[in-house]
Amino acid sequence: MKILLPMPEFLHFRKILLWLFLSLVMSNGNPALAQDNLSITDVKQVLAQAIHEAQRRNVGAAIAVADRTGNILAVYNMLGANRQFNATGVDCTVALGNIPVGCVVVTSDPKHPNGVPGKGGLEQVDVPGPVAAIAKAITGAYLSSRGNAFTTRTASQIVQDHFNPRERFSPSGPLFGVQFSQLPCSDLTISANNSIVTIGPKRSPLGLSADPGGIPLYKNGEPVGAIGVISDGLYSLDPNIGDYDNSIDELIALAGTLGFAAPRNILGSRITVEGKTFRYTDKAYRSLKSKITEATSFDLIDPTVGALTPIGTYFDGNIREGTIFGTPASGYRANTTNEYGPLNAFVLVDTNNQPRFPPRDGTEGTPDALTANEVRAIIRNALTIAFRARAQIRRPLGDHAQVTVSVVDTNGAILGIARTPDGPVFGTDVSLQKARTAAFFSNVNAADELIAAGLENYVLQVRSFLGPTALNDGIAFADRSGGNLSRPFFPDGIDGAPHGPLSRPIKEWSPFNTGLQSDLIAGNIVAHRSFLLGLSDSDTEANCTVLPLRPETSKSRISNGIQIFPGSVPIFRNNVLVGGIGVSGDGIDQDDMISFLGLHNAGLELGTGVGNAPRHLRADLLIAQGTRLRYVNCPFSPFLDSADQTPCTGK
Amino acid sequence: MKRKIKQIAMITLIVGISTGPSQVFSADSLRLSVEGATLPSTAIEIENASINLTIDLGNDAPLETFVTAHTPAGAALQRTNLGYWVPWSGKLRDLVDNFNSRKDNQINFKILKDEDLSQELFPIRIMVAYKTAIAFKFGVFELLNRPSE
Repeated sequence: MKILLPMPEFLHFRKILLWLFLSLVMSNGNPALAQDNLSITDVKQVLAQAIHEAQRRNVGAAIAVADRTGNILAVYNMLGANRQFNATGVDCTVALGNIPVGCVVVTSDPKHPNGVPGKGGLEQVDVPGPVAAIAKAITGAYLSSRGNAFTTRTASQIVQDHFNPRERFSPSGPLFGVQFSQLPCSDLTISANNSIVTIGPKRSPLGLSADPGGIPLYKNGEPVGAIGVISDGLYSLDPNIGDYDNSIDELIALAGTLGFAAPRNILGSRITVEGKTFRYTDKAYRSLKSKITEATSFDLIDPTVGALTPIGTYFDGNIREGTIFGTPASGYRANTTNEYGPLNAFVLVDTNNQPRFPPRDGTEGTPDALTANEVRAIIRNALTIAFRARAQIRRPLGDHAQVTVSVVDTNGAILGIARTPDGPVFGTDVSLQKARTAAFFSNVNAADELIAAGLENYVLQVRSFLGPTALNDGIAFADRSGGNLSRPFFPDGIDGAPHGPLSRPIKEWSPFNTGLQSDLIAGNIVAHRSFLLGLSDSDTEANCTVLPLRPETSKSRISNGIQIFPGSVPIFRNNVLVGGIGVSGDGIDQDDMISFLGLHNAGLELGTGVGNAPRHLRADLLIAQGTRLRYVNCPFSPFLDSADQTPCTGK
Repeated sequence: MKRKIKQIAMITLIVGISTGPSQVFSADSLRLSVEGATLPSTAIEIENASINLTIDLGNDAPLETFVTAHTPAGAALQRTNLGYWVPWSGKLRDLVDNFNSRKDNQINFKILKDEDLSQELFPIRIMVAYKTAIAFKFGVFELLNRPSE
């Protein structure tokens, strides 16, 4: 169905063209999302192919299959998979549903199978192999869409201290920090993962994974999920993009994707950022040792090979079919109200098909608090920018950006979430993290709350950088500004420079130990691990961090963790902080622009004083150690429908 | 959860003591605070959940008491003094007094009683709070789904 915007009177010809363009693109100019999902037969085929490849290579593997919104459709553990002893030599095998399961050890360098000495955070932690396989499957599913297919190897490329990894004096990866999203403690993601509760997005036990071996699955060109494989006992990443690895995990996963491969045109290897091409996989199908026709039917695989493996809240031991993305069962569907005008917006829904996060008032109870109408206008204006913006990470070229938009108040309460139809699922949780992060660091209580949580070292470090009132003075921090302070080199990418005050020093830093971001949620991940191992009866709370609770939400202000790559700005009413807007799903400059310009345009429309931070409060006025912080960075000539080259300038 | 506003009614929480489906937290060790106390999570039998929570008041003299719930689906609810659960704006000024009873320097929060929560997602975060003449004190705990035997 095509929806035409109301025809304004007395339009000039160019404006008529623009009106036609907006009407087509913003309403239903995109073809409807296809109705496809992984059937039980499909899941068995994926498993059988992967198991066959593992057998041909004489290795055992833990294999997980997820649908696009993180429903875990199968977990299979081959006997002998992964390792018997952890980093300290202790037997780490466990029985999951009576299936003996080996463990994997977190290491930031696969040359150090017991972890890199001196690195902290999650380094050297061991988890059951299936847990890591689940994280890898969810990552492949969440990062991919109809316009882009990314793997965990792609993730590895974009979360390290340099982009590309090992390219000295280049800035950090564009999605630096995204690995700490979709956390088991997130209050947005759904922890129940079974055939009754199918709505997503689901949580991931380890956040997103950068360990090669997580590859998306497609049917008829539609993203329907992903496979995650781990066999080598190492939960790691690829620190060197200068070579082509022979990753057994990746090859086994690749075998699983036979018949479910992503369209070639949207592979990560066809997509560039900053002139650099993403890596999809290091090997192709021709490197497989198995033949698809020789794979034993899953139902006929001998029980001595392995078994379906129940694990915690993720998988009950029974293979199930995936949901059809875009239908209520998936937790994502088209918006059916006029909430966002004629835009082809999508919303998150609950198990009763009711919107989870329709626009609502701020919870502060002050005259300045955001109103539901203002939230609605902010989201609509942000989505309008997204529909006009040229996508960075999607093909075909000329497609518009696909993102999720979240708005929060100063308590971190969710005031509204909506999205374009095909935004990658990871952007749901990440956009909320970004919104909360901008609101939190711009709050005059930020320092006090970090100190109350025992994280005063970071406050002291920030103040040594920015001055004695930092994080108490109400300076407006966009996520790009806070991200500047969260890199292991300051300025970003300059080898040998000191670390940013919210980062670990480079000797301790790794994607598993980023600094404040990882310190805030490490306890939650450890608690979740203990729960999955049966060492504790209680799971981590659905409230990340140990920051003080807010009575308005029963949670902390950043209850799904912070995010440290760009795409959010705080929301002000004149000089008063009232919330944050976060955007995630496309390139980081596009995400920046959609949040910044969307808020700006909403402010013009509303005329209520709501808008971006006053310029005299923005963090880009701060100069730390001779380097000015950034606020937002909008792309050059970003629109599909306009020749405007610098739309953010002067705003 | 909204449509089950009436269905969700009460819980009695007492740590270490469990009488059938009802549970009660011990009174002498649990206090609320201005910063927000983290109270022990509790697992319930979701088809027949009853929970009360007894809180030590110290020297506080509550003027009003409140109970709220936040669900994984995103709903914010508050309990009325009649045991009904109604949508809540999230604003503290919109909280309604539950008139929970005081005795021997303790206060007993009624939270759920004989409720069927089998259609709900978990965990549900429950806040109990009271307001004195000078302070608003609260505590939070999670209701968990107790796996069936």
